[in-house]
Amino acid sequence: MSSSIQESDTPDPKRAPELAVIRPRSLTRIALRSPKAVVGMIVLLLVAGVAVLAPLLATYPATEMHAIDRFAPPGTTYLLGTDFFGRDLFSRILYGYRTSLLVAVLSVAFALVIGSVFGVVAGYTGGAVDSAVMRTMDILFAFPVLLLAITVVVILGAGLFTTVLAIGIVYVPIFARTARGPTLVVREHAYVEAAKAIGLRSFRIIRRHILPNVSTPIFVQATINLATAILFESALSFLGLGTQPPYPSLGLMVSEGRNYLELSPWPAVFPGLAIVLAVLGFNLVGDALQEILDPRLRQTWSAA
Amino acid sequence: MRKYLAQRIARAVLTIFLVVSFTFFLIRLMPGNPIDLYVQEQVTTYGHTYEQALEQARGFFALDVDAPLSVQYAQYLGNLARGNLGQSILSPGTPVSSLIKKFLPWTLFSVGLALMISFTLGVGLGMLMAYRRESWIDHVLTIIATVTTAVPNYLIGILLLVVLGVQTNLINVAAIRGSLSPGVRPGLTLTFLLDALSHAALPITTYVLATAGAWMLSMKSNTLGTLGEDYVGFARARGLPDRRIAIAYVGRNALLPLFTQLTIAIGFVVGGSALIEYIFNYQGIGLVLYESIVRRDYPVMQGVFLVITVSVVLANLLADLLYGRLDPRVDLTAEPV
Repeated sequence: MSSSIQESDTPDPKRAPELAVIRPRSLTRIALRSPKAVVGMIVLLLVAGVAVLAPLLATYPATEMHAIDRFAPPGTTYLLGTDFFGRDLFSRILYGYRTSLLVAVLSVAFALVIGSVFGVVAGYTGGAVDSAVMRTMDILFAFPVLLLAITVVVILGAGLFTTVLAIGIVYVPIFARTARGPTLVVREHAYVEAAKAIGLRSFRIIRRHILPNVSTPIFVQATINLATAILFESALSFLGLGTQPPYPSLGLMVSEGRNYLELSPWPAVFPGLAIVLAVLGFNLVGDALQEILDPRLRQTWSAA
Repeated sequence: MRKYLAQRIARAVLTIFLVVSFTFFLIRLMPGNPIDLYVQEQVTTYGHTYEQALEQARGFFALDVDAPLSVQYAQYLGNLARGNLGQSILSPGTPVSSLIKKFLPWTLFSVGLALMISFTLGVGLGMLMAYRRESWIDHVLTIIATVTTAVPNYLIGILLLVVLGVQTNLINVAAIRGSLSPGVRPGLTLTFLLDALSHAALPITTYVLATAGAWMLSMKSNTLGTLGEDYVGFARARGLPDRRIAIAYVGRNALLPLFTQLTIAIGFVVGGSALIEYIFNYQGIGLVLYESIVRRDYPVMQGVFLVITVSVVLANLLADLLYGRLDPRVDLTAEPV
């Protein structure tokens, strides 16, 4: 998780990369030429699709136990085999995806909204407000991420929405920084000054002029964080601090399966691979977006 | 420069202070706060009187649990300054500081070694990928790196156990549980070193597999960026040997951004290993943290949090200071925007 943490120093706005704003149509065209983006999108559609359609695709109810078929190997009766209680792994993974994606999307949305507000307001206002907000974010950053999340869980008690809140809080400073950088740059542009000169209110300026410029990097950051949020949820559940049994959660399934590796590795291995697939999808799309939208990286990409 | 240094250090100390205070009040103010719970449990389960229970709580938390919060806070800070972190609730009589002293070295040893291997491997392979861009070796390594960064570290640990321990029986998993075999004493002997290494081998392998991919990918992209720079082209035009260009021009510049990440990763050496140590039952600080969380041993939890926070903040400080040294173009004394 260390890769998501950036240097604590504030970047020089002149050196901060200005992400190009590209019209949606050309974006799709470029994306189609990037194999990363295509593979990533296919994986994501697949994962999101099975999560949404879980009730239709599941061959058994996710919590139904089959006492005689404990640790059944993968086969025709149970597509991916069964676990210690004889529950169908395939069906549980489908429902597990629902939990993972729900937690990931909600927590990133929470962090995106709160973090962007902090970042944009801090960057636009400047001065004491800026220092106060960004120092607070530094302190949040100094908390090791897993610990911050664990603290929230210990205080509020484990559960789906606690997990969302825990991951969301951890990600707030990341979005605050992502939003502040471009705000600092745009603030100095002539059109913002012109808007100020004709007496527009700050709220309107932020909405009309700042937000469109900040949205692209935030969007890219969100895609990357969706991937880490899935890993995060699975790690918390694996530790017993996330989703609680008997609800299917991929991390929890790995954790449960881990105790019976000698009897059957599948109950731990398949949910684990399911996590990898989802994370890989978000990672690929995030990487591709970053390469396409960052003009400096785009050069190396199109040359390659 | 001196002013900058003083500012930086002051900021680091302030951050540590704020995090410590924050944790203190957080734990004391949470619903069903651990100290009240503990006192209650002593009264109801063990039939102690309220006074006896308070007396015991005082010992564990090294605090006057009856006093107003502000007094307790002052006591807590005073204790910290003297290195007194309270006692473990689960193993009464064991000071938290001695737990940390006992378990921290194992984590520093295993994760520190793993980080060095992972970083070196990542940098080397990343440069190779950039130099052999679009060759089969680049494609294969890129795919491996991309996939491994998506695998949770605990899953890598489990897969290693399944493949090496259960399916092929290459490794006797039971024999390398923990951080040392019973009977082996720490000391500068070959037996000790070999035993420590064999116990740490699986956690280290797991850590390296889980993190090397990220180093590879960032080194590759940095190197690609540097290869396009004018000074590299100019060095070629001057007829400098490729080896020298690769090390002194490309490698040095491509490594710069990675050093910041490395110092930050060093800060996470202490905290980033809990899941791996848990899987392999490796007796490091991560395992202590995991157990204290699961069994709600607050004094221990607080102590380990402190160690982790301090190491992260110090690593950040190191990153800031080192960056100016490594890259003369960065003017540290310039006012931050």
